[in-house]
Amino acid sequence: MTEIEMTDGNFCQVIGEFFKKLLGSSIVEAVLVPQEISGNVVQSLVCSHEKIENVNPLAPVLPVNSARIVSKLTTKDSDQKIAAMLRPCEIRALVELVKLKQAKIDNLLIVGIDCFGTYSVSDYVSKNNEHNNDGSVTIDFLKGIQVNKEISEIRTACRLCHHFVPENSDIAINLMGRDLNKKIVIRAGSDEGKRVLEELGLEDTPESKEREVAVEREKDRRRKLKEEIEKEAVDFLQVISSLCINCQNCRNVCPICYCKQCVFEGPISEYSKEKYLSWARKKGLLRMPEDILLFHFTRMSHVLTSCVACGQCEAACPNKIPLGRKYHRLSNEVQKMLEYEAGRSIDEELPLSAFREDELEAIES
Amino acid sequence: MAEFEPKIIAFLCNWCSYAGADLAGTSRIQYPTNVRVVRLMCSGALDPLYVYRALIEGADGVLIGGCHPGDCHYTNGNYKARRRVAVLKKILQEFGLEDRVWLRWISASEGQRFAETVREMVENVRSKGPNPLLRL
Ligand code: SF4
Ligand code: SF4
Ligand code: FES
Repeated sequence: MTEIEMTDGNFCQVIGEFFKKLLGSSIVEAVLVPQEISGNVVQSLVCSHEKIENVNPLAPVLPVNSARIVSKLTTKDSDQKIAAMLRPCEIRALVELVKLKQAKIDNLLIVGIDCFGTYSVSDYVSKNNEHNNDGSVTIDFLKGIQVNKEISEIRTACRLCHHFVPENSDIAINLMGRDLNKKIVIRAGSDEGKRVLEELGLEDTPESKEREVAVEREKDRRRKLKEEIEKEAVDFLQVISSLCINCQNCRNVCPICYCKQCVFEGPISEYSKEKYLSWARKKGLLRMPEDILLFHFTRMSHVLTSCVACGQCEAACPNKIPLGRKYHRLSNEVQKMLEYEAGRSIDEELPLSAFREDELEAIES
Repeated sequence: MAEFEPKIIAFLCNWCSYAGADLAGTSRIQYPTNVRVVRLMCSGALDPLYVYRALIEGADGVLIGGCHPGDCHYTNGNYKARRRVAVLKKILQEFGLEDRVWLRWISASEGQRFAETVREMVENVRSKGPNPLLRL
């Protein structure tokens, strides 16, 4: 464990220094890091350490689930090694994409970080504007977190999330259970991570007791929140039929939605006028566009087994359909039923291509 | 008003359940005419989309038939189908439709079992009433 001493609130700078060091070491060709750009914090791909100027992986905002970005960067073969700074839900989505053969991690150094939650992009950007982009939104957010303040802007998906510490990272930046004004901790999560830290002249020592306690306490707090949120029943059929405009934003931003060409873009969803009329005759009235429910059913069938409950679908929905909450609960139930957990391990087989002979007997009616 | 007659779409695998349905026919076993059969090569070839499409277009029930565990002619298609159907039923549960989809293992020699399944399912679906999605 490398402990880096802090002076008040300069953690972003400290993490930036770490990435500069990494780039300077020629261990990696480039790094993917969140930086402040135009009043938001977005991922940036950087090859030269001079361009690491405004790193801020702690800003409470997640414009895209970066598993999609890593997929873009790695699906075509490349020998160049890059490092990517990812939140836990991004790493978990990436693990699923690797299994779905839509990303590669052989030449990727994953740097994970504890996640305290995120605001919507518009909430974050407007707050940031109010404060003239002076970085205080992040600092106030972290101060609030440290004293367990209830922050109403945190997205529901993040409130519900119980995977807020990075699993499967090569290097992990630990924040939980630490006084962020005093020090942050950089730890190795894999042999590769250990090697890299060594090469950078940073040591690795075991996990601390305070951290374990803090993580457990946080899990407990979120469990209670989850119970509360789940009490509000949502009639999904009703909500979808009234609010969904079939823009398919939810599918476009989902890191898991994996088909290269969506069935709803292919010829099977192009019908003749006669087909439409025959539906209209049969039903008496055909709601148009007609495939909304089929779209949702199918999307659920495709993604629930690998959904990481990041809530990006909900964030992208123009009509604020509470998709995140639905997918959180349903994916949890489905994955539990199949003894699977999205993002847990690269080696676990995708549940719909595997089976056990002695399971699910009750499914037969 | 005429009594509600449920419409059941059955997706049956070629090697067992379809042959079972065929046997019911050739042995002249009586069963309700509410069922329309779609033959698949294997229950493992069932895309959940077929089931959703059937329900959205107004089927009151969907029966999925496959070989008994261990007997699938493609080794394990029915085990994979079972997982897929389990997920599908979880999804349909959100919409109150899970009991309208049945999975049954019916072998080529079980004509009687096929007829009984259809009878049982038709009665069960009749008591539930028409598929609520037809309104949408
Ligand atoms: S379905 Fe929604 S919550 Fe699940 S992985 Fe996709 S975007 Fe994230
Ligand atoms: S983003 Fe919202 S409105 Fe658009 S298709 Fe998805 S659920 Fe429907
Ligand atoms: S052939 Fe009958 S279930 Fe596979």
